[in-house]
Amino acid sequence: MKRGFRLTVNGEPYEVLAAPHATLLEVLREDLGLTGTKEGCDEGTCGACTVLVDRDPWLACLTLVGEVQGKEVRTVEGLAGGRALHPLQESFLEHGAVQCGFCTPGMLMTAAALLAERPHPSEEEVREALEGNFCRCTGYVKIVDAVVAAGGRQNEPV
Amino acid sequence: MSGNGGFAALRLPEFSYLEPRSLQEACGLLVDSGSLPLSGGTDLLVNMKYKLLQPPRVVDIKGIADLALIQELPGGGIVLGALTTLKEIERSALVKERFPLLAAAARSVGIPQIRNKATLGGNICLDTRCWYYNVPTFSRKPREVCSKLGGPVCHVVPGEKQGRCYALFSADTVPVLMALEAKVTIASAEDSRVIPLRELYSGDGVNPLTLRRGELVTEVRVPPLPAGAGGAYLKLRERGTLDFPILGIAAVLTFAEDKRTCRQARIVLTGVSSSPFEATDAEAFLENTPLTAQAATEAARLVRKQLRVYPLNGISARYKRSMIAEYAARALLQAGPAASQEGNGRI
Repeated sequence: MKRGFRLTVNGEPYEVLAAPHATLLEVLREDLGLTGTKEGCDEGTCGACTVLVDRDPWLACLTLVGEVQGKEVRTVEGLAGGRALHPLQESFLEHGAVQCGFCTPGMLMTAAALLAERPHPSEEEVREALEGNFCRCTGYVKIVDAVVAAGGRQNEPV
Repeated sequence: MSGNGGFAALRLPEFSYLEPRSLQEACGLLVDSGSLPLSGGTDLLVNMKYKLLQPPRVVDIKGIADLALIQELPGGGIVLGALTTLKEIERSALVKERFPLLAAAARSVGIPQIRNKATLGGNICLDTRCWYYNVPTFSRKPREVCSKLGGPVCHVVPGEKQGRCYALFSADTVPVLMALEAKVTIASAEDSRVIPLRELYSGDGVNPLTLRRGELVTEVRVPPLPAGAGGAYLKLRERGTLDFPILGIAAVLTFAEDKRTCRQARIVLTGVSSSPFEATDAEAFLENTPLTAQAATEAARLVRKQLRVYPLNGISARYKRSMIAEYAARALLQAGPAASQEGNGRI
């Protein structure tokens, strides 16, 4: 049976009517229309559905809608500030760190959490932070380069 | 709309979602056989998506106050609340200083997104796994139901006719905590009890925990190590990330005043049987023995010899036996005196 859940997503308060067995991923994509967050494996192994919950990267596919009540959820739609892209997004563009693009939102959110915590991460730190985000197109090199380069810029905390 | 089933095979089954605010309330709700506790949910929700578990009620215990903490105990030990996340353990300055092998074990679980949500209590109470059981129910070929699913047979160990379940216990933090002789507090709505962590495990692949209905693990207490003790946790897995252990081995050694003679050895493995495995033969061999490379090799042989290894989860018994001996020897040497001079618990 559906019930109401109050959520905060990208700074906006929402009240959604959802089944308790709905995942955060389903609610974001199907109820709120925020389809930037991707459904990859849906079983917690690929990282495509990564969103920030109170600044920590979580897998939206392994999070119930009820678990984020009272928490701040941030998705890739909330990464850019208005029309200005986040430095990470700029850097991904400059480095061509996108091929099919399916893993990109998850990569960006994981990387954004890293940069918020460590504004100038080393390549090793970037690789460790991204170890849970799978990309099946690239060799990860451009993605890692893009995050390291973004760390060289002055970042707004997410 | 969300949660309606739809196409996707991996939608969760229906359940009602309960949010108790106190330990007593949570335990009261969990007395019901149709209720399962949800902590980080990173393992439970996968099993529910696979329809291995379909509880009518899910009790989210994260609203219970004061169970997410890491505190120092008088005398140098620490207490860890069951709702502490693996990320918090991995990063805790106190854990890294006192028990770096515990931080390493927490760090070796899953991926960062999982460690940000998964809890210590969840890892300790991790269900056993095998390649036959841990797949979506709908993707299995029709076969006789296996014992972990309530049937009479086991499909993963050739020749097993009695229906014994060989699913493997795979938690990474547990061998370390057992080697450190940790105790767990278990609460029910009425009272609480403290038991050695090893007593939490039944050895039964189907029901690996000795917890009774309505009970929850609330905290783990790790006693201090004597001066000059050393420890290590080594994990073998297929990839450098994400995977459950093919095997994990924790060694904690204390030394006599000569800093070389092993006074006590604790060696505990994960991923090798349906409960954490204590390598008691090797432990007994090492007692009052100088920890040389030769002694480590002999102890490692005893670890391998004491274990019955089955080909499971795509890993041959022969490979696994070799790796058990190899990792045991490495773990012992890393926990040994050379390492311990630079502070205990080098990884």
